[in-house]
Amino acid sequence: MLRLAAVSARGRLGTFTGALIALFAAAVLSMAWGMQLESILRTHSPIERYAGPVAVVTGQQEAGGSHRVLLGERARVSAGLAARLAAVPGVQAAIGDVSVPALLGDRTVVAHGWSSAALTPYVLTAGRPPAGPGEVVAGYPAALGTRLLLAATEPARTVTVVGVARPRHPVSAQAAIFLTDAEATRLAGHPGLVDAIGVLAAPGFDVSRLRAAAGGAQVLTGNARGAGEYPELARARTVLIPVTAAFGGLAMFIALFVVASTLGLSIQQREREIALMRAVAATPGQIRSMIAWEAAIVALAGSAAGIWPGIVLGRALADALVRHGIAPPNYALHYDWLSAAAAIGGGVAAALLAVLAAGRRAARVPPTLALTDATAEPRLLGPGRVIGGLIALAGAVPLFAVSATTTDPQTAAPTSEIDAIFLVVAAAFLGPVAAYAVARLLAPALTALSPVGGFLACANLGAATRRFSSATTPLVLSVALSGTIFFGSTTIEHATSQQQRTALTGQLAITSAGPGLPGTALADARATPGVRSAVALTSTTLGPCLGVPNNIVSAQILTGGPGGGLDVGVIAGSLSGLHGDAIALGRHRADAVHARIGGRVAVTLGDGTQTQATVVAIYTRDLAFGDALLAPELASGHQTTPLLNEILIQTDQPATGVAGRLRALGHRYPGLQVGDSASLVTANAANDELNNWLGPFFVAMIFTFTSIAVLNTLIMIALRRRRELALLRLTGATAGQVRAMARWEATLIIVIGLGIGLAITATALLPLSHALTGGLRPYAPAGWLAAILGSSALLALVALSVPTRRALRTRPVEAIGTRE
Amino acid sequence: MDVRKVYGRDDRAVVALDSVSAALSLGSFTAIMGPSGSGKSTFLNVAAGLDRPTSGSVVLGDTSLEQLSERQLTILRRERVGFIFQAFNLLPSLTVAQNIALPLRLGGHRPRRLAVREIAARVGLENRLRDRPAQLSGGQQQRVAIARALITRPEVVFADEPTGALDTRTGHEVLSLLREVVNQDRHTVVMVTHDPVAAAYADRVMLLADGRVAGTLDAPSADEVARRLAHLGA
Repeated sequence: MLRLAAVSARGRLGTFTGALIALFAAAVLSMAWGMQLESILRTHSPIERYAGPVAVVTGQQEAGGSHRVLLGERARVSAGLAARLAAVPGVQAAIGDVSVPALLGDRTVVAHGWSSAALTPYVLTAGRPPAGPGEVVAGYPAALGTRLLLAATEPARTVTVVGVARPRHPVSAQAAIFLTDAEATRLAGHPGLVDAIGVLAAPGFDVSRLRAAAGGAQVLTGNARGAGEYPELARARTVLIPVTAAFGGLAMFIALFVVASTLGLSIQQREREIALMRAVAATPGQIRSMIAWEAAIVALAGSAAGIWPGIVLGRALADALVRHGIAPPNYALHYDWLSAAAAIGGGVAAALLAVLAAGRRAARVPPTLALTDATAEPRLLGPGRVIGGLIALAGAVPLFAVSATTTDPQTAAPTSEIDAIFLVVAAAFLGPVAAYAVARLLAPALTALSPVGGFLACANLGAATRRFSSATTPLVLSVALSGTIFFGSTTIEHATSQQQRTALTGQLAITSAGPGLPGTALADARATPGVRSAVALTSTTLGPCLGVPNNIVSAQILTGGPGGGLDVGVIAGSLSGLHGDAIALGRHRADAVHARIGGRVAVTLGDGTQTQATVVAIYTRDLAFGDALLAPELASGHQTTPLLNEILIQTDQPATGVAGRLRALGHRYPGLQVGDSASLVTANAANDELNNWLGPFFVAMIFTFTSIAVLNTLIMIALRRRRELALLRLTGATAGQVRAMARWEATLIIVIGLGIGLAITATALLPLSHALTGGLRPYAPAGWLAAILGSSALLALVALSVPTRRALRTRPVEAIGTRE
Repeated sequence: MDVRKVYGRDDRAVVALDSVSAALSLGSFTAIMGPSGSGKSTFLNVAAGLDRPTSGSVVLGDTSLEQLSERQLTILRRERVGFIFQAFNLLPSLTVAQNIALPLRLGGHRPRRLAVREIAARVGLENRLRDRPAQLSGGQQQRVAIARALITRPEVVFADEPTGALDTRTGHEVLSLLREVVNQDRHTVVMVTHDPVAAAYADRVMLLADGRVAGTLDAPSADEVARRLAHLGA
């Protein structure tokens, strides 16, 4: 059978071209994404700054019971722990370290206390250690005695470079500078706590003793030490894994779908040949195994060919992920035979799965079919289609119910996408019914409009429902998935920036080109003439709390209560009470925990600290401002850095004059930028790389794939009809009439495909839109909508009309002799 | 008609028909016979305007086919010629009634229900009008094809091995039907066959060999046809 299959596969490369290309594309994509997944799983945070210590002790960076949620802010340990750890036998020294983001001159640096230089270690190559608050040691080549502006968490002041130190171990991820320990601690703003304690070993070191002494703190050794150095890299990793898995998974789903439809169709095309084999006494088992071997050969060839291009694409993808800030800068590709084996194995498995059903049906083809002429179109819906369609619908309905009733975007967004997938599958199974219904519905109108072309097209649509369904399915897939995913993200984005635009009624906004703005900048801004009010917003996160058990919760620290022209849409309470342990909650979180004004809620702060907070306000614009607004006193000391992100200003004088005065603050706060509040909205939108870049990328990916399916399916269908077209011409149809019929058919296919695709998109997106804005207006930019629909339609039109034209070029007498 | 048909060019040319002259009178039933490769099918295709002769002319009534464009030929085929094929060649997506009425529809006429019903009754399928071809037996499908060929009341009906795919009994039914439409409805039928029994239904048998007319037989019996055919080396 293998021999026969090989000969057969070689002999009909044409039939397999579509499947081959689909499998090739599937392998390219799964290789490219598989590489990313493998790399992420294998990428450890680099160990640079803490290369010296044998162990790094930090706070618990994970929170939550059963779900280990990586916290968004650095979890610190008590400074006093260092002394206790130093007393453990076998420990040479235990040194606490703080990291303060800063600007020295125009260089972005991280400031540490001088005693922590021993952790890398950094050793002086020139000068001396810092001795006072105005002295600094540079961890990179610098001229001694240089006076530079140091901006950290206070107004900038001039410091003198008194020493230059070189690391014994390469440090690439940060430019370190060293202040006196007292100065570094003061600037860090969390007295009594350190970011990490590095433990230097002496002979007789025993890590279990260290762990015992560390108590509840986290002891990191070996490769894990990097996690203590850059917890934000670990955080990026946890963002990247689900993104990669979702994209890779969806790519595989589409690949499976496309491969299944192309292979299934190629078997359907060969029914007559298979019947002939049955007639010469091939058993159904032999037919099945021939088909399986063919699929395996095609899959192996197609997938193997896709590995190398997949690696190329994977490299480009990794570069882009880093460039767009989705992957951390130290992201490096690790790939080996594992990704390749998964890509090829996945392809072969998908192909075999795809021909399983088609092969069973083919093996049941009665031998007599070879001898009859009129191809009997199969029943409208076989039991397999009914069961498959019902299962898919059964999956879709509860999802729709969930997304229709929820008002929480975080629930509605993912459910809408999965809902769309289920509906596409249901449409694929139940497609013949749609074709039949449309044919019955449109037949009178089309026949009146075009008595020959329209009539024949409708008759064909009503009779050959399965063929038409195979043609519409890739269009449905293409429109529904790209529409749902892309317009889902534009809807969220639009609602978010809409909320921001409405909320930011102030004239001006101050931001920083550096790490952020010191707290004093807010006071300075307020003291500037012409500023009526000013508040500061700083992005942060909360640990799992407020009814979100398995993820961190987005939040902002609002410094300064009401003012600054910020209108977050308070519907209960007031922001004027946002001091002390106060918290304001977004509508959805407030609903989830049944919060009321003045009540206490349990809150896990960004570094994992459990506390109670008083609810002072409930607001509606939680898409733009996160699920909670924290009083500065509540969050203080629990953030990785104490810097402010942006200061919102309401003026009582012409804004341009005030802006000039505010810009003058730049000498105290290097990197300070003044803009209007609209620029803030744009900047925020531009920062959403996941939506801006990955969204279109994903749509392009879906499109490439479904184009293969659309082209392949439609060309195959058109080729199959050569004989039918010839017959029509022998019966007296002119070439023009045949072309008109083909045009009408193409129109029907496109209308049905795009129609169902759009219906699915709407079904998926309306609940999302409702959850986001309370209205039923998903945001689909007209240009993009036209592009998605137009290119799908164009593709289908070309794929359908070219083969018909070619078929009409052969003389009907010759064509009639060729069997399909 | 008086035609020569050459396939290919120069020294590798194959002469399919070599100076074949034939006149077919209205209301007659003619069978074309001959061994494989004798030019039967080429004769039929050229006579029906499906294929153009290399030289010579085909005249239908008072129309000379070689002067017509491809489009005019199509319209002529649609309105003045009927076809019956060996493989019944019905459109699988159309019902029996729609298949029968197809030539009218293609001609831009609204098919009259009564005419379709009448012709369907003529071939004995008035009860199967709403069925699809796949639901019919081979003989029934061929009868639909005959009805489709007759619906335009063509000047001549060409049949290419109309019984080739049928068993003896249904083949007999189909041939009797053709005989009947010639006798009762004064249709003109030209049938290519290699079956002497089928040929015996015709008024006249024209024998072809190597692209030439090798003789004619009027009102022959099956035995006679078989004997002459054997002479031609079939």
